[in-house]
Amino acid sequence: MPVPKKITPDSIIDAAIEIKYLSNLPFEVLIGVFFDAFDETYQYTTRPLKTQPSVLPTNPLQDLVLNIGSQSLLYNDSISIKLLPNSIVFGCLDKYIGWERYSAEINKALNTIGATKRIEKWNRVGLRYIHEYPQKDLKEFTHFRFTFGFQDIQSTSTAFRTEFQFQGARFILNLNNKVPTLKQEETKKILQLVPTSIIDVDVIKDNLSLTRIEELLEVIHHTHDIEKAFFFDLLTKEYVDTLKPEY
Amino acid sequence: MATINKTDRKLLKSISVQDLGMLWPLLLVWEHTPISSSAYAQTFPVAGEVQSTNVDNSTRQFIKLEKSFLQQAEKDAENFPDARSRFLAQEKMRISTDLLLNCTPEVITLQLTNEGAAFYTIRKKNIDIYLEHSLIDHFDGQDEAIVSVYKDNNTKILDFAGSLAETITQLNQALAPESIALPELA
Repeated sequence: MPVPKKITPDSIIDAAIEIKYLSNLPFEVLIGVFFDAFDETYQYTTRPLKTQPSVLPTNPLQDLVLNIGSQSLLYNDSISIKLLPNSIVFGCLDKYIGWERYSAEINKALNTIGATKRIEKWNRVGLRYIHEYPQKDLKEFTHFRFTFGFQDIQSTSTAFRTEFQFQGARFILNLNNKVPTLKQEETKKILQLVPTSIIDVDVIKDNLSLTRIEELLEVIHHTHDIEKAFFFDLLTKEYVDTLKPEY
Repeated sequence: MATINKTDRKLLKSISVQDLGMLWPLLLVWEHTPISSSAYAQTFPVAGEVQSTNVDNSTRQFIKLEKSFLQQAEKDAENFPDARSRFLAQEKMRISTDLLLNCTPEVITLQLTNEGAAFYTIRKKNIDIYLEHSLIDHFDGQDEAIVSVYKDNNTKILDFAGSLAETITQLNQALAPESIALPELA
């Protein structure tokens, strides 16, 4: 299927990009170096705690998270940048701003970080897009079908996770079909349980050994391209046609 | 250089060691607090493969509240006349904001009162929490806070005033049956 440049609505609730690095400086010092390198359009802040419970469906494979010290953040009008030991995580501040703008922000930030010459190596790129579909059944608009041994049983909600290698990257696909989720009703602002479906695509390029920013940016763009192509292959053509695709 | 509170470093230099000392007891408590964010919470962090991402929405909410605080504080010349007072208040605001975000509220707002306190409105499931955290020290001592909690819109289940740490303890006691919990300050 040809991959559209844009669809409306895009249903993206999160677009996180994590870049892991090796540095020749301790992290505490590195924060200061980064702070100094970013211009005044970025605001610096810290959070006393590192982790919060999530409202999204849980991922069965949970990473070990240590809660030590505070968390450093930089943000501007469009994106947030989490500075973590050995990794940098980008996220959109409000709604998804589209890959063109988002990648331009990432390029700018990574070029700023790269110019400090304090990063020895970039060794991992992770890109995770989460799409949310309230009141929709995945079976109606994706190629997802789920059955199991008991033919007479109809699932009211389904959570499915799979991991595989595809186009030189590791994919982790989470599909949640009609999972009851608390949502605010638009007119009366009342919270209510809404059956919500989620397509969560996580693409990882690991074991990298990149030293040049240009190489890193190329990998990020390629990772985005294969994630996007995979996502559109999941959807039925009829559904994509209803989303005002722009090619 | 990135900015802190839209001020420049010259202004921040006006903050004395004594000023920072006012915050240290609170911050030190943080450092030594075991953060098992919630023995009662029904959800746990999504880890996935991208660690510590924004998928929990918490970073967005934190930034949104901080921006809101900064905008309001800049206009409130009476309570926050200079960068120094805003900086100190912001440090306190970050702590209470971060604490409250731990219960993954569905709705959270922050309003500065005319007494220079952060007034939070939080909605989680059928629980409404109204918490006021004083950001200005009227006298030496611990941070003051006032909290009221309602269940199902009209049943009051907690009214408490005390230090922020005591308030969080009381909140946890009241909310434990509702499977909502916050990290304790002490």
